[in-house]
Amino acid sequence: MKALVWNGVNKLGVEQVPDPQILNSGDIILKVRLSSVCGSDLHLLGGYLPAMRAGDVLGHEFMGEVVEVGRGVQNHSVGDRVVVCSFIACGRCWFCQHEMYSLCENSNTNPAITETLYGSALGACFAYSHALGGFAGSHAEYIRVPFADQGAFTIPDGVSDEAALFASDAAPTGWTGADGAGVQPGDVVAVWGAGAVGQMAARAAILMGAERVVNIDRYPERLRMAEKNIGSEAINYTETHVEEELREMTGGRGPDVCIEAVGMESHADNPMFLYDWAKQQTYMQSDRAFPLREAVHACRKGGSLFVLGVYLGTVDKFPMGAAMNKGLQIRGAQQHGQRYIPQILQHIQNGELETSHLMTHPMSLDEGPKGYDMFKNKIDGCVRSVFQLDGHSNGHSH
Amino acid sequence: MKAKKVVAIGGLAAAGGGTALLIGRLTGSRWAGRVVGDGYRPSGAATRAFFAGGGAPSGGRADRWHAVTVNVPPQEVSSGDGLPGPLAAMADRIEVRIKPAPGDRGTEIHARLRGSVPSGPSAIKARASGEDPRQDLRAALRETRSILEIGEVLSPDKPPTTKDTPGGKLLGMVTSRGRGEGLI
Repeated sequence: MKALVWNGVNKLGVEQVPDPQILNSGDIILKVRLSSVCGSDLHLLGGYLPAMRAGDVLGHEFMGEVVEVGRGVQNHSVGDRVVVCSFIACGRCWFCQHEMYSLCENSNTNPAITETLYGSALGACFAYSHALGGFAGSHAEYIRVPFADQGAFTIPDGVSDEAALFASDAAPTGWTGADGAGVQPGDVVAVWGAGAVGQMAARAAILMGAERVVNIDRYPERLRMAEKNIGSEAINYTETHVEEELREMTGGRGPDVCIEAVGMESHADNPMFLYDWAKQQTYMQSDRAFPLREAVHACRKGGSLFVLGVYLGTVDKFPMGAAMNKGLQIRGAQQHGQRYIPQILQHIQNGELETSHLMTHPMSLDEGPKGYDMFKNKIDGCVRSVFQLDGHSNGHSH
Repeated sequence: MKAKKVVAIGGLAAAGGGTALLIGRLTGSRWAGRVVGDGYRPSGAATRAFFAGGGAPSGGRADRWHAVTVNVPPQEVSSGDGLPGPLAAMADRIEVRIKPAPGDRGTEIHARLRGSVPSGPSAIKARASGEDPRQDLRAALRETRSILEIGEVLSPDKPPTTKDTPGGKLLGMVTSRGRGEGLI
């Protein structure tokens, strides 16, 4: 089959690879219809995450049609239109039973790598390096989906392929942040980042009853999108002082909840960016963390900070004094999508959540390298390049 | 004194990671800086995390108990028919203790090897060749947990889509023992 593969740092290719097979009883084989790039792919593309091999198929945000089912699959049959959570989870271990699906004990076939790096093994994720299982990704004509009864969700009638696609990763990641941060009615919520995940975190906070929600970014088109499609306010950090804006907005208190949806390759328009960039480029630190530091400083006393952006290793100059003395609650996680995807699909069906606007650049799989270049360099206002397979056409829904 | 040694080792590891990458950058060779895989920008921090994280299973106590917690009640783990899962095949080589985990956390399975295990340089050689018995024990514990919780062990994708580049082969060697290494 045809697939978009990673061949080295900033090297992508569209090549023929072996078809996937049913290997476990809970597997399904999916014929991919739509598969999106994701900001976290850029860490793989740029060589920031370890354990990639030439030939690895990229892509972890996808939907499609079931074409084969394992003997143990009960919830799906051939022909089902499904969206699949990017994290793979068994549903039976203690972590899955407590709805912390990205920490599944039984999905990562290479647990030793993250166990050694982090002290505990993480669950598996499609196409997110061999440290997270080495499972082939969705930028391909077909994909094997393990534990399909837990991770694949039938798309309701009336929900388009394009809208359902982002219930795979961006939306549940946003929900993981807003819910994990404990957003309450009346809260003021600040979200660093107005990419797909930042927008979804903002919308989740709004639907959870937040009084005011603001996205912070430097790209005007993304901020306009957040205002128009999400209903949040916008701060362009290149035009103003973020902390001053937030204090003015909150009567001097600071946001009740801060969500960092940027991650290890963040930017800033001040000398700290140069400091972080120089240390990262000379391999003295792995992650740039300016928004994280800013969020700690801006957050109100006793407030909550959730780290949604992907970090790999260590960050320098983390303001631990501010975090401790202000009594902040700090949490972080990869997405626990199996917990949120059903309600996200319901929100889409009810017209309460818009997602399809994120697909700014649909294209064929053959254009994959170009799609990543547009996404990485934000060319033509690209928020997400989405690869259409199987002759998929825009606006189609069952 | 001990703390100084730790700092010194951490600093050395950090310098090592940075130096390797700097050489890679100066020479234009992407290979020079790689640790595993086909393109990784390891930082001193990441290298330090690896070493500080206790990434030295071979240097551990020979009589250490290795353990996993399974999300099933004790009576389902020890049903009277001997050891569960792949641990049964190792019955003559290991001691096993099974006890309830605190709270609602299921059952702890502890196991340790009888007799001697490789140590020092011989442990490094044994690990590299996949002949360290602790690798078998860790894999057996993890696979036993999967069998008890989900009835089978999840298989990695086959056939692989990857290519046999030098970096890829090294990573392949690491992941081929993905369940046998780690900290448990």
